[in-house]
Parts: sequence; C-alpha cells; structure tokens
Amino acid sequence: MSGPHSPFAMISALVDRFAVVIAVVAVLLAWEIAVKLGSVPVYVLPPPSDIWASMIRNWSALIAHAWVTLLETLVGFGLSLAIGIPLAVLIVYSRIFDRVVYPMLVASQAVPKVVLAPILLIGLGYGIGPKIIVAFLIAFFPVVVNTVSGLASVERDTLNLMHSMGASKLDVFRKVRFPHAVPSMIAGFKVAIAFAVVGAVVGEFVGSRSGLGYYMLLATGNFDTPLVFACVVFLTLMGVILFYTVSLLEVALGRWTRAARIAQAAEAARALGM
Amino acid sequence: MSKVLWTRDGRVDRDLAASGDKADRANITAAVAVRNVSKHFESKRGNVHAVEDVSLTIGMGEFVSILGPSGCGKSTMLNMIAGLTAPTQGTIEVLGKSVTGPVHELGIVFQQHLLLPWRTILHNVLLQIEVRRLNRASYKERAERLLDRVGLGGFFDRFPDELSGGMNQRAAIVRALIHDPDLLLMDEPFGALDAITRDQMALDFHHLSRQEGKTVLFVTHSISEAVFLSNRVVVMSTRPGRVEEIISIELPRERHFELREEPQFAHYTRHVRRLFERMGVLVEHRSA
Repeated sequence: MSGPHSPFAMISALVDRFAVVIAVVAVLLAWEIAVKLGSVPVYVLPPPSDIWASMIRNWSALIAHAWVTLLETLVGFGLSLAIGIPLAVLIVYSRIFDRVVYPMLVASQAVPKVVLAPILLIGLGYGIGPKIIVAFLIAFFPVVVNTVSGLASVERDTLNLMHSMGASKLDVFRKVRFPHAVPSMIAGFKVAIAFAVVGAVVGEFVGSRSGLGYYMLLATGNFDTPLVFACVVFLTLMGVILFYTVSLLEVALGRWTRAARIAQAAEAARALGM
Repeated sequence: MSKVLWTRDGRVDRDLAASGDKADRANITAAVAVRNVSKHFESKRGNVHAVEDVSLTIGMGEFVSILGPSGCGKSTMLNMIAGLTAPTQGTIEVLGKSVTGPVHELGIVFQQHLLLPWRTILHNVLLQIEVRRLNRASYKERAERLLDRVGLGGFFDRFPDELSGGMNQRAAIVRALIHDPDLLLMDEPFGALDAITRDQMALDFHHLSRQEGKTVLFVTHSISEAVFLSNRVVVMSTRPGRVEEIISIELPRERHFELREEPQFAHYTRHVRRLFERMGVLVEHRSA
C-alpha cells in the first residue's frame, strides 16, 4: 500500500521538499571523504571540516573584512541606482539621450570594467574609492537597461488612452510608466547587486589593505587555502543575502503583474523548501 | 463616395444627395465631421496609403460602425478622429471643434482592455477621473453604479488578472463612460473575446449606450456585429482605405438577439457580404 499517508509516500515527500539540502549535504560529505581517502594536500583542496574550522578561528577578522566589502558593494550599488535610474528616465524622455548617450552606453559595455580597476587605483589610491567605483560601473548597466526597457515597453494604446484623458507627461510617468517599469527594474537590481559584489572584490584584488578580496589574497600568499575557502563562503553568503534582500523589495512592493506574483510564489516555495 | 439607403424590403435606393442631406439636416450639430481625409504613412516598403479621401458625418446620438477587413485603415480613422494621429490631408471636427490634438471630450475603448494591472477595477475606472483632475469622491458613486450595471457589482476591489477578458472589457467600457462624454470611440472592443461573450457584450453595450444617450463610433470587422448595433454602417475597402458604401440600417431601434435570425437582418448582412465579394475580400467557392 502506498497511499498518501504511507511511510514511503511521506519519505518521498520529505525528500522532495528538502531535495536541495540533501544534495548539498551529500556533496559536502563526498568532498570530505574524497579528500581524506585520496590524501589530497590541504593547500590544494581542504576538506569542508577544515574550512569550517578556519572560519571559526578567523571569525572576527572575516567579519571585519566582510564589513568593508559590504560597504563598498552597497555604496557602489546605491550609486548605480542614484545615477542609473535618472539616466534611464532621460533616455526614455529625451531624444538626444536616446540617440547619442544610450548607444554610447551600450558600446561602453564592450570595455571589461574590471580592467579599469588599476587605472582607478592610480587616481584614487588604496582606499575604498576605487572599489566603490568598480562596483558602481558593473552594477550601473543592468540598472539602466532594465529601467529603460521597463519605462519604454508601455503599450502604444495605453499611452493613447492616457492622452485622450488629457494626461500630462508627469501623469503618464507617475501613473503608468513608472509602476509599469517596477518589475523590470527590480529584475535589473537583482543582477546589479550580484555584480556589485564582484566589482568590489575585484577592486580589492587590485590593491587594498582591507576587505574580503584583500584577505583572500593574503591567505593565498600564506598558502592558507582553508581561509581562502572561508572567504569564498563569506562572499557567497553575502551575495545570496543581498540578492534576497532585493527580492524582498519585490514582495514588499506587492502585486504588479501576474507573472511577477507567480515568480514570487515560486521563489517563496523554494525558500521554504530549503 | 456613394450613400446607399436600404429600405425595409431590401431595395437599394442609390440616391446620393437625398439620403446624405437627410442625415445631415436631422442633426444640427454633427458629433463627428470628417472631410476628405487621407492618411499616408512612410514605411520601409515606401509610402503606404492607409486612408484615402474619406468623408463621413456622424450625428449626435447616432451609432455608426466602420466595417472593413484588417488593414483597411479603420483603426487609423478612429485614431485620427480621437486626435491621436494627424491626417495627411483633410479636416476633422469633433463636437463642433476642429481636431488639432488629442480630443478630451470623449471615451475610448480599445481591443485590449488596457486596465493597469496594479490597480483594482474601481481604481482603474477612477483613473479617468484622476487624470482629468475631477473630484474623485463625487464620481466614486457613479463608478460603482456603472460597474454594478455591467455586472461587476462584487468586483470593485479585484485586480484585472483575477477577472475574465469579458469582465475586464466591461470595466474598460465603464472607464470610457465614467466622465459622461458625449462621444464614445470603440476600436474593435469585443475583438479579443470568445464568440458567445462577444454577442452578449454587444447586446449589453447596445442597451448601455442607448440608456446613457451616447454617440458611438464603433470599429469592427464583424459584419453581423456592425449590422446588429448600428444606425449606419460605413463599409471600407482594402488599402487604400476608402468608403465603399454607407448603409443605413432600417431596423427597429431597440435590438434583440432574435433580430439576427430575421430576414431583414439577413438582407443587410448579405448586402455587405456581397460588397466584400465584389472587393475580393471574401471569395466564394462554387463547384463547377
């Protein structure tokens, strides 16, 4: 018998619900065992238990460096919003910005922005500045592109309808274009926040005295591979937490489109499953 | 342009001046006056003549349909009357005023309901009031009454994605009526609905527009819908869109479903169908 309440069905339901957790645990276990059995040197690939131990041992230093990286990321991301959103509005409303600035902006994406980090270092020194700027430069583009496409993708007839009501440009922006753009903008923010972390860390790689990127390089120099991995774990967690914080914004802003709501529900279900 | 008066027994009275003048004189102020209007577009394939030398007068309180196949310029006509696109040639007057930009004294319904998904049904209707800087509080009651009347009584606080296409389109019609305009422009308003819903909507809209005393310009590609709803049907040819014929529908003023099975109804639909066959829009298959 395998009805919905039979032990087999219940186990299979549990496996289904916690599939990701089970898979992660399995991979970590396999990693631990493979490294131990294969006697891989710790400096090449440390077992998860060593990484964990290193994380506990260096906890306060990791937290201190994580703060620096977090600050760089958030300021860079904040700048990308503060500059990217108004620029997107200008691109949508101004012919010159649409015809001249936007194509230039798109073309500028061919420049790998991380290679600008050394140049910024020359001008701005070892401080927090160059990292913020690299984070901003990477995060900026998805913000602009998604805001532009959200603002511009309003249906022709919706605009016609608004014009027949005698709507001003500001009315159209406030009542139609902006709320219409929100789901697309948040999708851009999610990409941007993940990029901003990368930008900050790359900036730290190039030259700094603090931050997780710097701490990672330090650990690499000392062949302290468990600590390198501990830094990677911290960066990953930071990325995930920031990503979900932005996703929360989506939930907080409530119901925009059916698609957005269905996506939210799916995400929430997945989060609960974990 | 030739005007054709269809008499009850199905005879065609091709009297250019007589029928035209009669219609014009009966309505001292024309709701819509279109004079020798043409619209040409520049496109990648060259200059497109969407509308060619169209003249048309719609009297106050009339229900006029523009009927034609896809791409005959009927939606372009509606957009020009609404002042949303400018004609290349000719002049348009709406409610006695020359059209030079978007006309505000009307309500428009498009094929898509175009309700804003983040607003409830009631707030979508009140968008019209907000944008016009009218007093929201004083129109709220009218919005609720109209929504009630179109069968959306219990749905004020629902969002568009929670309702069917027909229900949303009803809300869109209420949005077009809320500020009590004299003229309603309808651009294939039931085109996205299933056939049965469409018939019901047409009948309901017929009664609503009569009760509200609106002048209606109704764009459609459905022959029976045009005949069923209208006082006059303007049949347009394929591109370049010209007025092929204007047909007065001499049927009882109040329309009912049974009318569709009546011989006099079939007279009109047959006449239009033959027009479309003559234009090559419809092609009959006959075994040799």
